[in-house]
Amino acid sequence: MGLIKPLLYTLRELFKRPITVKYPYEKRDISPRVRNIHTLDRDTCQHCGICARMCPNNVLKMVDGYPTADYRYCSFCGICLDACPTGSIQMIHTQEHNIVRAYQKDLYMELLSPDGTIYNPDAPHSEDNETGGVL
Amino acid sequence: MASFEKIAASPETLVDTMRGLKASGFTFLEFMSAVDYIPKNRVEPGANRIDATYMLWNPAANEQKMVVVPLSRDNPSVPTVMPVWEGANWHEREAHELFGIDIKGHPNPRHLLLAEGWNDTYPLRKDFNVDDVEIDWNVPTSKLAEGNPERVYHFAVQHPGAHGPQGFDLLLNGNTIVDAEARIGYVHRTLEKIGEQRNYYQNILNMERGCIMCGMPYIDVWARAVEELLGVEVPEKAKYLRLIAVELNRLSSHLLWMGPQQGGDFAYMPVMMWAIGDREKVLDLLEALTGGRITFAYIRPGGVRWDIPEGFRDMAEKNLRYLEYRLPMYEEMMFRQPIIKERLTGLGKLTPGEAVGLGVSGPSLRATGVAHDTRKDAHIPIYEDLGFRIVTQTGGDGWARGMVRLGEMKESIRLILDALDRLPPGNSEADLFNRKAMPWMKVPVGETYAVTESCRGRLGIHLVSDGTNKAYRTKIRGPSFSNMYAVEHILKKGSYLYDIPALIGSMDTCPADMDR
Amino acid sequence: MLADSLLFKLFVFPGTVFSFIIVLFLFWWWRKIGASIQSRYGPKHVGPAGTLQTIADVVKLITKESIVPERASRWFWFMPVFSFVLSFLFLSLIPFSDHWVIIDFDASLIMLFAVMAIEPLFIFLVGWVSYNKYGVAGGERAGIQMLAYEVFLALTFVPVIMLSHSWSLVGIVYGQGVSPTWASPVLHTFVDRGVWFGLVQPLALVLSIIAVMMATEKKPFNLPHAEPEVIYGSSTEYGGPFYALQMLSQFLMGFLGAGLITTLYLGGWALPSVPPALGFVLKTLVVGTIIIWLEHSLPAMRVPHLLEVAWRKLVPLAFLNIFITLIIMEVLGWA
Ligand code: SF4
Ligand code: SF4
Repeated sequence: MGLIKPLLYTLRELFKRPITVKYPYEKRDISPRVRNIHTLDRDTCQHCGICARMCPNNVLKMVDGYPTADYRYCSFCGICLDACPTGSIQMIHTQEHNIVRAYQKDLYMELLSPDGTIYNPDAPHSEDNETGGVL
Repeated sequence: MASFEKIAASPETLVDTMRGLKASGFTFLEFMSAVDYIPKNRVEPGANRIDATYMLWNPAANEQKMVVVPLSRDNPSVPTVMPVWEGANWHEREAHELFGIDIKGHPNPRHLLLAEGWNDTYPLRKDFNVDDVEIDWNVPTSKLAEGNPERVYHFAVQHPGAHGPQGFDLLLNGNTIVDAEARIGYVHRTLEKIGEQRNYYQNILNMERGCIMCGMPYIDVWARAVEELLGVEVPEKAKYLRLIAVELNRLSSHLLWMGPQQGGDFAYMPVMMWAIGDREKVLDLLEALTGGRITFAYIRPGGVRWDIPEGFRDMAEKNLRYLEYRLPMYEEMMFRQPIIKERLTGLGKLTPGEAVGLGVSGPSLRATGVAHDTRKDAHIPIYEDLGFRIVTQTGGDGWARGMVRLGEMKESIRLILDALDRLPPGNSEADLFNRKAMPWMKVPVGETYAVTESCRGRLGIHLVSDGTNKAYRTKIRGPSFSNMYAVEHILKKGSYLYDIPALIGSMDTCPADMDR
Repeated sequence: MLADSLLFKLFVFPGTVFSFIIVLFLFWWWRKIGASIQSRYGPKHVGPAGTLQTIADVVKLITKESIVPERASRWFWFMPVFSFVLSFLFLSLIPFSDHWVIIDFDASLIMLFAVMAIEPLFIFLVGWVSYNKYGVAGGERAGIQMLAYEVFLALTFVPVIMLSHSWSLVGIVYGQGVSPTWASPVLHTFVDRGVWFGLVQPLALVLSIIAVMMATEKKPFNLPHAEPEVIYGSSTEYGGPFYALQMLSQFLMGFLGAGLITTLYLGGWALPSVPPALGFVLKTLVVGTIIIWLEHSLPAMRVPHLLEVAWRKLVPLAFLNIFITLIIMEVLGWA
C-alpha cells in the first residue's frame, strides 16, 4: 500500500509544468559572478606576464606583449585575475560564447576588450587565413 | 585538529606497534602511504629514505597519530598490517605501486590504480621520470581474469550500473557472486603529484578536482592545511561562508546521490529527474555565491575569494525552503515505498566493528550506528556553534545509509539558513594577506594533517612543506577509496548480481575521489 | 470486397500498416508521458509536438550498421525477426471488432496464451545466440520472470472464461453484453450496451493489468532488460535495424497487452456511438496510458522479490478471485 503515495506523486507531477528551460528559446538568469570569458584592458596592462605564469593550466601565453588564451584548457577559475597586479585582466559572464570573435595564433586567442568587443576586427578570418579563425 | 604525534617504528616491530595502538583506542586506520626524501630535498636536507606513514585516528579522543617507518630507498619493504586492519589492503597496494614499497605477506599485490602492466617505475617518487615508463598492455585486468577470462563477468567501467569508471570483475554461479575483484584507477590523475607541482594558490583549483560531485570540502581542507602551516587565523565571517559553501555542495552531492545514483539503480526515473531538477536550485545558489556550479575555486588559504552577494539570503531562503518541502516526498518515494525498501533492507549490511576495521567513513559508517562525524569530532569551526547534530541510523544496510543521507540533507538546510542568519560582519579574508601577494605565498617547513567531512566521509590531506611555494608531499585520503574496498569486501562475503548496482550506489562511491 | 479480404486485414488495418502507425504513436506517447512525469518536455522539435521524432529515430536506426558479434551463432539474424513475427501472431488474434479480426476460432484465448508463453523463450534464445554474458544473464532472467507470471496470467483468465462460457476472444466480448445473453438489468442500464467484466470483476481487472505488465516487461517487472544489472539483457548485442525491430515489437506487444485487457474486461470494441474498431483502439489507448503511467512511476524489482510477490501474493489472490466468481455466479444464478 506504500505504493499508492508514489503513484499519486507521479500523477500530480504529470499535470505540472515541466521545469526544463527551453534553452535556445528562453534563457535563465546567470549570476554576475559567473566567469565565462576574459577581457583585457590593454591600456593598463604592463606586459608583466604574471597572469600567464600563475595560470595552473598554462592557458595564457604572452603574444606581442599581451596575454592570449587557449580556451581548450581554461577551467575559468579566475586565478589569473587574482594574480594580475593591475587588474587589467578580468572575466565577464555571457550566455553564450558566440561573442568570441578573436584573432587566433596557434589556437591562442586574443582577449576581448573590457566592453566585450574585439581589439582586432580586421584580423584574418579562417576563410582567408589558415591560422586565423572565428569562434 | 591538525597536529599529530609521530611514532617511529621499524618493519620488524610494525605489526606489534599497530596492535598496541589499536588496543589503546586508535581504532581507525585512515591511510597508509609514504613520503619520499631524496638527498636534495629541503625538508631534511641529506636524508635519503622513504618514510612509510600510517595515519591512525582515535575517534573517542579525536587524537591523531602517525606511525612512521623509515625505509631505505633502494629496497623498501614493510610487512602488511592487514592482520590488524583489514582495510589496509588497498592502501598498501597503492603504496606498492606508487612508491615501490614491497609489502611482505600481501595477498594480492597487483597494481590497483596504475595499469596492470606498468613497469617498475614509481610515479610518486621524487626522482620519477615519465620517459622511463613502459606499459605492457597484455597483462590481465585482475587476478580473477588471469585464470579464466571466459568466465569473468565484467561489471566494470562501461557497465551502465557501475556509476562511472569503477567496477568489478566477478565470478558468478547463476546470480550468486562467488568471487569479486574491484577494478578502479580509470580516472587516476595522480592528483597528489599535481599537487606537488603547482603552488599553494594554484592548488585550490586542482584540489577540487578530487571529487566532481563534492569539490568544496577538498578546497576547504586544502586551505585549512595551508593555514595550519602558516599559522593564520581565518576571520569569523570566512568560516561562516566556508560552512555555507561546503554544506551547499553537500546538498547538491546528496541530491545527485539520491537521484541518478540510487534512483538510477532501480531505473526509477521520476526521482532521478526530480532530484536533478531540485539540484538546480542548489546549484543556482552556488553559482550566485561562487560563480561556478560544479567547480568553484571559492575557498582559498586565508579566507574565501568573494563575499556574500546581494540578495543571497532571500534566494537561499526561497530555494532551500522549497527543497525542504520536497524532502518528505523523496522520503516517501525512495525509502518508504515497498519495492525499494525491500531492495535496500539488508543490502550490504556492515556491523560497526567491521565498518571501522575497513576504514569506512561518512554516511555509510554512521548508518551502522557509529556517531563519528568529522565535522563534530575534529571541531571544524562554527558547526558546534550552530548546534550541529550527527545523524545516525542503526541498520548498517542500504536503507539506513539512505536515511542518514536524507537526514543530513535536512541538517544541511538548517545549518545553511542558520549560518546565513548569524553571519557576522567583517572581512571575508584574513588581513594578513595582501590579496595580490597570495600567489607567491611561501609556507614554512612543516607537516600537518587537516581533515574534514566530505559528502562521502572522512577526507584528509597530509601536507609536507619544504619552505618553498610548492608542497613537498600532499597525500589525500579520499573517503571513497576505503568505502569502495568495503564494497569489494561485502561482495566477497557473498552477494547477488542484482544487488551490485544498488550496493555501489548506497555506498555512494565517487571514482574521482577514489582514484584521485 | 477489398476491405474484407484477408490480405487487407493482414497488411493494412489490424495488420502491418496500422500496427506500425500505432507503435510509432505509442512510442511518442510513452516518451511524452514519461517526460511529463519527470518534469521534462520530451520530444519537441521534430514534427508538431515532436510526433515525428519516432520516425526520425527509426530511420536513424535503420541506416546504422548492424554489427554481428564474431562468435555469435548464425541464428543471430533471425531472432529479432522471429520475435517480431511472434508479436504479429499475437496481433492477429486480438479482435479489433467482430469483423476486424484476422484469426478467430473457438480456442483463440488458448492460442494467445501459448504465444505469450513462447515469447520468453525467444528472449532467452536471443541472448544465447549473441554469445554475450549479459545476454545470457538477461535471458535467464526472462526465464525466471516467465516462472513468475505464467501461472498467474492463466489464472486471471479463468473468471472471464467462466463468465462468458467461451474460449474465443470474440466470444468473450459477446459475453460482455455486446450481444447480451445473461447480463443483469441494473448494470445493463449502467453501461450502454452491456456489462463489462471489469465492472463485475475489479480485482481480476487489476490482477490482469499486473500480469500483462509482467508479460510485456513493463517497469517494475523489467528484469530481463534491467539496465543497471545486465545492461540491455538479451538484446545487448543488437544494434541498428535489429534494435529498431525489437523496440517496435516490444511496443506492439505492449499495445496488444493493453488490447487484451480491453477485450477481456472492458467490453472489447463496444463504445457508444463510436465505430467498433475505433472504439477498441481508443479504449486500448486509455488502458495503455494507465500502464505507461504505472511503468513510469515504479522502480524495478529485485528477482527474488518478484517471485515472492507473484507466488505468495498474486497467485493466491487470483485463486481467491476465482472462488468469489464461483460464489457470485452460484448466488445470482448466472451460471
Ligand atoms: S581562468 Fe584559470 S585556467 Fe583560465 S586562464 Fe585564468 S587562471 Fe588560467
Ligand atoms: S598580469 Fe595583468 S598586467 Fe601582467 S601581463 Fe597579465 S594582464 Fe597584463
